[in-house]
Amino acid sequence: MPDATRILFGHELRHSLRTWLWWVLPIGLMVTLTCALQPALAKGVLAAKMDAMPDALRRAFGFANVDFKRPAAYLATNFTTITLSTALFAGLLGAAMIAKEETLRTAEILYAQPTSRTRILVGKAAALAVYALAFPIALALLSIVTLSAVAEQTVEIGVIVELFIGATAIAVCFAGIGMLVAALVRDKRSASGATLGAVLGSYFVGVLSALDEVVQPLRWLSPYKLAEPAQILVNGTDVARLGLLVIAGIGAATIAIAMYKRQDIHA
Amino acid sequence: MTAIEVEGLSKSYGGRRGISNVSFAVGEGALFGFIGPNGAGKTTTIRILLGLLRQDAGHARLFGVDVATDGPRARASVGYVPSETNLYPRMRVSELLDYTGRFHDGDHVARRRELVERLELDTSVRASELSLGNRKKVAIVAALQHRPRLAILDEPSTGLDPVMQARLHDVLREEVTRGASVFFSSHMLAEVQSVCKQVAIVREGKLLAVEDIAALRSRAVRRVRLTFAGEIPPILLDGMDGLAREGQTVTFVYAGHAPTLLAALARAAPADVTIEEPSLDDIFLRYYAESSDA
Repeated sequence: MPDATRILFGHELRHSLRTWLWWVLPIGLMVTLTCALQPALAKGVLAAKMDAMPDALRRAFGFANVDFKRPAAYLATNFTTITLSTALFAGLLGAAMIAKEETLRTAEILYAQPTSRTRILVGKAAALAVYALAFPIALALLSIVTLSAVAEQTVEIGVIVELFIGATAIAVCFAGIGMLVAALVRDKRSASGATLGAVLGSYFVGVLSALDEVVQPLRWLSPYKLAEPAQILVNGTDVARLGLLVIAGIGAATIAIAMYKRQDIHA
Repeated sequence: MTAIEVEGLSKSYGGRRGISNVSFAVGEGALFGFIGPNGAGKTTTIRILLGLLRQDAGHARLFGVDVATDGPRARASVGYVPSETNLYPRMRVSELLDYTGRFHDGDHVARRRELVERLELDTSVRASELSLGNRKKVAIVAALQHRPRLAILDEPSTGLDPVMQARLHDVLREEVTRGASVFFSSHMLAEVQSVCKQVAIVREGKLLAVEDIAALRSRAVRRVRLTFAGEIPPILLDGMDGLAREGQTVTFVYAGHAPTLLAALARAAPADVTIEEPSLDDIFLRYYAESSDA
């Protein structure tokens, strides 16, 4: 029998390319513009804004002691857009890849093929992984190229790559969560809404946890806290923390597949 | 070997009825009808056969392979036309056929082209532009392009015009001639009678009977309507039931041999006669009557 995983991988790669482009073009443009403005903003507006920010808020975002003239540090201060868009893209794509078959009611034809649901879902997950990696890689390339062109100081490419590896680990985590949500909720719109809530909600929980010691334990509910740009900037990559994010993502995807293969198809 | 073997299959949807203790077998090379009104449990049975639903009890096997424990192998040479044909809206028909064909070994191009031509299907358009009938044609070509050993068709004629229905029936007869088995689910008795050799009748989730079509025809009731110009003569026949008179019109239901009925009608000499094909309800009522008599 032909390899269904390979068939689904190719199918999803082709059919998710448009979605990937719709995300990467505007976000890429925004990242490019942000990087292009580094020399001007780092000297004036951004430094002044950071000075004016209350200490608690600076701690919440992890930028208590950062030199914004460093291109990598400047990028790190503006990394929220990248982290959130990467997590949103991966989470929503993960949810859509599973839920769309039932929303479009194409599940009946797909899952009646002579293959297991596991093979189908692994093929979809592989395509998801490709796009979850391709999205931050594209943004990383745009950032490095733009900063290298405009920055006055040396661009620390290694640090920027580490920042994006952190964002990628968060994306992998939310891609798995998106798949798990879709296996639970089934309907694409509901699954997308719930995944959106998980991506944004856990981000704001992370921000909240840094505002006061009383709410600090909430940080464990936020995957973002395991790959904070400010921490990576100062201490470098914490492989164990990133590994935890990747394991969480793969674990969530595995649970999603295990659940989905036992469920009745609602066509 | 049997193509389909179903034993004590049951499935409920929470409190809602699905199917209950359904058992039947379809031999290899058979053209087997599966008939019942909408909501009878036909689609539930088919979805269990294809591993889309998990049964609560019982077993379902395709070519001897249990669909619950080894679904991919059981479905290895099955073509399936779902009752509601939903396709990826952005894909072109040619892409869709290529995509579904890739799940099966072999080169399907020639057979696909032949089916596309016979069903007059435009493969260059996107699925979102297709009418219900054309979507159904895509599903039929997708199900048969790899020359399956077993074709399972759930209400395949829905949306097809009479010419295309006839072509589909021809294609299915040819499939059987080359040795394939066809499982044909429908709520239209006349269609099943014209296509199939054997039929399983299902209603309210229960299997009422498995019969040869010829036996079903001979046992089936006919609805008779006679209109008289003058005095209405007495009409008495064995197998007659539900006699009703309205003005110059007499109606009744007849279950028996056609020649006996025709002789009685000749004697009564009505001005006009209508003998209708038995409806599904007529047949179901008959089976219910038999089962309650037993």
